[in-house]
Amino acid sequence: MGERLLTIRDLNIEFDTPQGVVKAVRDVNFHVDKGEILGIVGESGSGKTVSVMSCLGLLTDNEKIVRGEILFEGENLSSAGIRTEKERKRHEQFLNTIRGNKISMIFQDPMTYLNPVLTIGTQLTEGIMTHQKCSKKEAWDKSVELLRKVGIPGPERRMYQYPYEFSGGMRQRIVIAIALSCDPKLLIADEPTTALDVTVQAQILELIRERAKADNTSVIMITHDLGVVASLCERIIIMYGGKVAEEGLAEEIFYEAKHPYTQGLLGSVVKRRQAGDRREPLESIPGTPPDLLKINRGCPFMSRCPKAMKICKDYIPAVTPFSQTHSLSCWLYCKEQARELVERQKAEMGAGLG
Amino acid sequence: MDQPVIKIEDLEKSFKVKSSSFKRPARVRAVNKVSLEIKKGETLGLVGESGCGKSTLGRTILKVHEPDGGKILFEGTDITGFSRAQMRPYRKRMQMIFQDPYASLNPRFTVGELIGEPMEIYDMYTRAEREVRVQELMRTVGLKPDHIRRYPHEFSGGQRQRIGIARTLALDPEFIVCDEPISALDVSIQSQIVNLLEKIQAERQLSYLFIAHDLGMVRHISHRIGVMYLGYLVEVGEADEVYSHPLHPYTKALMSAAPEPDPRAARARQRIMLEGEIPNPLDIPKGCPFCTRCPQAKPRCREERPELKEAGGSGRQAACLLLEG
Ligand SMILES: Nc1ncnc2c1ncn2[C@@H]1O[C@H](COP(=O)(O)OP(=O)(O)OP(=O)(O)O)[C@@H](O)[C@H]1O
Ligand SMILES: Nc1ncnc2c1ncn2[C@@H]1O[C@H](COP(=O)(O)OP(=O)(O)OP(=O)(O)O)[C@@H](O)[C@H]1O
Ligand code: SF4
Ligand SMILES: [Mg+2]
Ligand SMILES: [Mg+2]
Repeated sequence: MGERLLTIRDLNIEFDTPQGVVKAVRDVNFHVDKGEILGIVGESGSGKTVSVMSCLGLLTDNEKIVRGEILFEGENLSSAGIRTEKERKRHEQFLNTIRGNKISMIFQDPMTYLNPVLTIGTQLTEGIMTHQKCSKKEAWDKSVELLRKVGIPGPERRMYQYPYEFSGGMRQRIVIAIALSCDPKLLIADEPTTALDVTVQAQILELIRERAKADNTSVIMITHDLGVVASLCERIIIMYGGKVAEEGLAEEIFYEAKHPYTQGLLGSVVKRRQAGDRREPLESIPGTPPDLLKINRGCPFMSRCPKAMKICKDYIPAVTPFSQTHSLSCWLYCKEQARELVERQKAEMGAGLG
Repeated sequence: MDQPVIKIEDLEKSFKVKSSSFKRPARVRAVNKVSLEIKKGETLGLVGESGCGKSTLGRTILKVHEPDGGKILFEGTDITGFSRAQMRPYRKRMQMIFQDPYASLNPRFTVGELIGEPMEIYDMYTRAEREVRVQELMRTVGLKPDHIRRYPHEFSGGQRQRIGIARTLALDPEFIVCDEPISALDVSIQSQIVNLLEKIQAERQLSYLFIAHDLGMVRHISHRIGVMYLGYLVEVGEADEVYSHPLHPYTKALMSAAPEPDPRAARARQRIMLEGEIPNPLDIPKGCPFCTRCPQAKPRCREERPELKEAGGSGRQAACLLLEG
């Protein structure tokens, strides 16, 4: 097993909204080792972005880490438990030393990251100068080198151009160059290729893989494309309704999936060899994802699960380990605990009545 | 053999764009001399990179855009030069499903009004009949008829796409352009919609032009597949054939780059990495449109433009000079 870089423990994040409290992330646990590429997969709204943004302390005004630890190189990045304004300020200062330095992030839309009125050269050099103590000349040279590394031809000339003069794929490569400019320990990529074409996507994924291997950088790759995780990630986390449904090595998830949601998800995508049976309907998961305003009891997948049992409605399933690396949260795989729970409940009810 | 529902010949569409660096307005040649046929009950999948002209082709076939050249035949009738009035009876027989189920539905209308509206515009059925038809359509697409008075925002993305499909079906079309109907949906919802489209096709003998980026899904739903590059149709053939034995170098690269949801297969696969970026459609290379990125390009490819020609039998066509020998 590798050396831990990031450990997320018991993370709970809520949003205060006019309609009520949205429990966007509930009891989430995961870790990332040094040099590892971890994939996070799940439907829209399952809590992928919210979980990783919290690692950077990027919270909106109505957002709160209610509970949980985010240990990065042994230091806690979580703002849970911070009460006073002074503590908050100190924490924010501390996060500033981490953000865009030890941890950097790539978003889906590169334009949210690039300033349209500044040249690429200015943006790259400024970024490098803020995080590393070096002269403008050194930062400039380093920038040219970075552009070259991410496969931009003629980088010396390109430094003087503006973002709109680049294609979507090139812009995303520039954003990756910026994200890597500080030699981060952890690179978080949130759907970095969703807006790109497959041939360009393949280039970007290759680039991320190369950089990760060359510099021993850890990567968290968020996507809902199972094809992307299959070709890039060593380990995968499947999220559903704000919780981790299943976690395992890529092979464990793709070939030994146990959670009904993971199984349904894998069944919904078309694999190369199945594609011949065209007239067979695709496997599909009926229904729609849960409303996070309303759930607090039971398994989040309950309303769509073909195997749901009575207990699933009232109790959140415990996490059951299968191997050192593979675990999941589903009552089907912890029947013993389920039985105990039911027994205990009966006893309590009995006691209550007596 | 049945005559095709749609037949296009050398269809062309370009757009004028303002360009700062030239005095004359430049032209984006979005669709270049495309010819193809779609039979009754058939799905033709259309794939290719962003901006290669897929949507424009779909819209031009429906005459949402006026073509600049070539012909469009709908069930044998040449509709290319038809006026608005002449198009009217054809409009409802040729429909479109859009990518964005959020943007394409008016939020102030109830589901019942949304699905009934096209029939009202075309003055089909009486009010009472329409109400019955709306409920039938809701059942067909898997919506609960008692939700008829709800508004779009009360539905999830997948359900909204079902509303969009019901609206399209209201006019009993024979041909539907499905322009990325599943791209905005979650994977677990995409397969619901694809199954629905296939079910309706089987029941009504519909023909589809199905545009999408997910190559696996396109292969699943399509009988035949067309591959576009920079406004040109570069390959067309039986879906499985095109996937397992692509002929055109661009199709080969595209198929090899498609992310496959299977780690072992993904690892074993040889990727053809394309160098460079998609050229600008304002400035299409002189020879083969793919020559600037093609790993197999010969000097000749920069001079001569290949035509779409029979290649490898069973109706397979490709446009590559190397295949012409
Ligand atoms: N600012 C906010 N206010 C209220 N709720 C929010 C806010 N931001 C996110 N949420 C809620 O938190 C949940 C998780 O959102 P998140 O963005 O993490 O989803 P995701 O898994 O990244 O989805 P996607 O694949 O669509 O990006 C969602 O249900 C969302 O509605
Ligand atoms: N109304 C328009 N005016 C000017 N140019 C247009 C117009 N519509 C499309 N284009 C241009 O025509 C070309 C083809 O666009 P089109 O939308 O057909 O591509 P596409 O293959 O559907 O792409 P995507 O996969 O991104 O949807 C592009 O260069 C686009 O910028
Ligand atoms: S806990 Fe129950 S509802 Fe949840 S996935 Fe398992 S069987 Fe299905
Ligand atoms: Mg997200
Ligand atoms: Mg399009």
